[in-house]
Amino acid sequence: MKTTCLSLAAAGIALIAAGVALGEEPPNPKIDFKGFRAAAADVEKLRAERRIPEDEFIRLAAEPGVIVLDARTLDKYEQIHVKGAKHLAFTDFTEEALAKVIAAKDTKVLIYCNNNFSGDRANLADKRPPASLNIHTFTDLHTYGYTNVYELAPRLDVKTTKIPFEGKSVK
Amino acid sequence: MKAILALPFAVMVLGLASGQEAANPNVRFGEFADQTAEVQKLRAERLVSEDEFLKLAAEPGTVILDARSKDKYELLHVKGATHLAYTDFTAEALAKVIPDKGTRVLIYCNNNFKDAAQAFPTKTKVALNIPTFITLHSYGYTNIHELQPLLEVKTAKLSFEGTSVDPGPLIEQPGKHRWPTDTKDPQLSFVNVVRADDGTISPQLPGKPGEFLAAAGAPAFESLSVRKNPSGNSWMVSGKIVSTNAGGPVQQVKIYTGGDSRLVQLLAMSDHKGEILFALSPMRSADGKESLPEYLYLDKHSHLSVSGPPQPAETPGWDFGRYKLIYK
Repeated sequence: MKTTCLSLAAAGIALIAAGVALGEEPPNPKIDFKGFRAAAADVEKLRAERRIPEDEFIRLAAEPGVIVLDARTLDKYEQIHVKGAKHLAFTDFTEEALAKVIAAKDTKVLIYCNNNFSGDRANLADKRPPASLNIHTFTDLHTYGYTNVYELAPRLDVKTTKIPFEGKSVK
Repeated sequence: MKAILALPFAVMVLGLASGQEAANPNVRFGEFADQTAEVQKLRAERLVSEDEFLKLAAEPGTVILDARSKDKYELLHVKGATHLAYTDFTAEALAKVIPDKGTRVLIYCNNNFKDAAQAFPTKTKVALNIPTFITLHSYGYTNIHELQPLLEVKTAKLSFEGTSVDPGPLIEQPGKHRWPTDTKDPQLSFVNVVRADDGTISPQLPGKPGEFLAAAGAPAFESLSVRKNPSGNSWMVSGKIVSTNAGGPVQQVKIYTGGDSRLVQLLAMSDHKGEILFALSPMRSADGKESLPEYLYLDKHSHLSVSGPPQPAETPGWDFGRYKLIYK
């Protein structure tokens, strides 16, 4: 009996100690993983409807008021990007930075990333599928309130695609 | 024949069943959601306090990875951090900066610091640490730790470096001179410098106004420091330029990067205090060989230039102070 009580008490203390240890470091209010997961789950459903083929991408890009957003690294963007695409590196997404590039929260935004194109390993290097930039870009834009985002779906060959490119490495 | 051709296609379609990603096998969301769930559990045990971060950073083999954009990294980053922009994460790029899948990797981002809006602008929605952690995990890195707290750069125990950081203690010339100064105005130092034949600066004792020997009437470098830019093939030179009594108590310092101006990119200048910071890149000779400039010249018009071997003896009317650059 005694042993049981003692061990229960010990377990209780251990639990409390654990609780204290966990509570020591207040979580960083600006880093919210749970919130991100929830957002990502919402986005997954929406994104399924927003992935578009090459022809539709080209058609939408030509509409007035539509923004094509390239979220890759600046130097890669400068080498090659979809003609007319605006640049804002994913790493620089903030409320203000996005507002400068995208006119309104309901502006139609088209996104693409490295994984959409084959044939240029220097400037459009493949990332492992779950790490594709589009996923994070789409999710981020959604959390910032951009509700009208479309994503280029297919994987196209840079050399044969109908989508026009421009940049330092493009002749 | 048909069956054989159909098989790989069928396998591919089955593999993609988890998402509606048939059009692009390289972008897979279902897998992403699974990884995110996995990471959430793991990450909870990998959040570290500032003290723990410092302790782990000091252990050999640890890599501190800064995944922000390059320009932010160059402005300010945790001392010792390696840079690879999140947008450049690929298997090869990561392998170059992280030697091993089991290497201990420490990450931090904008949202760990609240008082440095230019280098660390807060992302009000998704902090960069989150996709960074998830993506590193998806590439098979098993030993990632994330700085948890929200700190102030000003008060943090962490050390920082970058172009926005005060360059810190200045040059060590051979002999480690401490320039004698004689100043009535605390914001200006008066120092006489003697230009030695081999180009090093050695001070002359104050009290002999007019005996300024570098460039008549011109300002001079009181001190000069050269250190390698951690993120590129250039060198950061910081210096303090002072008025000389030969030119009057207050001399306006205007830096014109002349000569091979592409070698000298002025980054910052606090005119009144005479402090300047500029970048030097290696010079390339006709046969493609790279070399670093050996000497810095500051002439009487505050015309800053660099060169390899010392310039020939000055021609009348063109006088300059010559400073030997010491690279460590």
